Amino acid sequence: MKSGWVNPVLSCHSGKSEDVMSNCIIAMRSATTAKKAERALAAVRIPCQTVSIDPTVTKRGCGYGVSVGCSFISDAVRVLDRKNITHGEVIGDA
Amino acid sequence: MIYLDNAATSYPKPRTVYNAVSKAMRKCGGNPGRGSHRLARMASDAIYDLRETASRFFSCEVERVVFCSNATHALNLAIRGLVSEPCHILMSDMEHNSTRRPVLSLCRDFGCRCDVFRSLGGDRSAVLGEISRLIREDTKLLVVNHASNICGVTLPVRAICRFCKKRGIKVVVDASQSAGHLELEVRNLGADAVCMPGHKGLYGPAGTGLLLLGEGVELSPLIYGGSGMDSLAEGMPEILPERLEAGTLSAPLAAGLAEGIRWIEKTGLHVIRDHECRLAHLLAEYLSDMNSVKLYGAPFENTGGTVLFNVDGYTPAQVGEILDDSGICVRSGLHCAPLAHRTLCTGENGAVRASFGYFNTVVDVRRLADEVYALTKGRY
Repeated sequence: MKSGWVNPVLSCHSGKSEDVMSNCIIAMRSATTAKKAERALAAVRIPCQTVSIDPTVTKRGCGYGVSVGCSFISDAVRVLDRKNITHGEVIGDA
Repeated sequence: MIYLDNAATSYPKPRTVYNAVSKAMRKCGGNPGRGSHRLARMASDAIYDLRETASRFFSCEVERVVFCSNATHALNLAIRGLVSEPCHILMSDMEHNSTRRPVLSLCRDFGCRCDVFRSLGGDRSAVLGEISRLIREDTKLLVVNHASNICGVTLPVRAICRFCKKRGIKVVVDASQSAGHLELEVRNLGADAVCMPGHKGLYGPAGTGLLLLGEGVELSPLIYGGSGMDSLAEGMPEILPERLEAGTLSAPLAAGLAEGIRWIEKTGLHVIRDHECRLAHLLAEYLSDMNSVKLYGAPFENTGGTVLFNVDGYTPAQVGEILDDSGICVRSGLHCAPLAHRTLCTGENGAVRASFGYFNTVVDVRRLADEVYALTKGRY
């Protein structure tokens, strides 16, 4: 399910500078859902990490997402959909 | 020292629980669900790990596991979160003040009316008959103690939930004494909310509790504040569990509770329960042979690992004090459950409760029985 967030701007604070531009972020509704997504993706060996999303992106204040290598993004979204894990837009170019 | 107050707080804890708390305090220094630096992520992991462990153990959706500071916190969230207008409420005669007081607060604040149904030793059809008799058109909530904190009597919560669901009545189950003792699956139970402490039968640290919500159940928040998300909104987020978890959660305590639950999974719920019950039944046998000891409830039938008694010629407080002098820790008084004590007719001073945990032994039972025997012979 999409959350309707628009005008995506990449803002990944993963702590690893080399990741910043190569990763896409799947926006999540909460820190808990982001962790759930992170574990679901890790279970199928898609490297990922929970990150925060800037308030200017979410339009609702601080938010969370899962940072995934852009090359894995379509697989990642498929896994989340299959597991009924609610997520928002993909932020960044896939 | 012999510790027989496990119904209040289990002690000692499994070694893995101490280790988990200590490790999390040293390693997970960040604030869970706030920011994404590595220490915050580790703290978030500890909280999520607890949710996942509890979700598996209690068969409940992971987002519907709300981390609380104790059972009372969870019960207040559930009871006050489900009712916001005048209605009729039912509760059992074995309730603890952690449910009785929130229910009575609804009577004061919203003009709700409350009736108490008799638990009748937990007999299924008798209890359902009692509820049927008291139910009204405006009955919206039923609050029920799964297992009594003073005598271990168990109420037929599954049948009660099924009965209430058909009539559109919400059910809050107080699982303070059953979590970690009895099988408890939120999906199968059909309750709207199941509340429990982490520091009793789940062998977690004090300061922990869980609220497990049934599918589709929505609660109004009780506490407002930071949630780490949707910070521009004036109210709490709509999404669970963050909606009900304002303020910073304790990652070390969550890590300890998760480890306690894992220890139960590894040891076996039935193994723990059988051991505690065996000790309780043995003590009840010893005490029932003493003429000046009065036992309450049905100590040979209950599955709670507790024995409630009084000794002629001594108040419960005196018995507790004398036993403490002998190095035995029991709990005397009303156990925050005056309603339940009234039901069992223990008298205005209450009674003495011995409650067993997995780390107690037969030797502990014999020591207590010997001390009580000495009391009955006036040796103190």
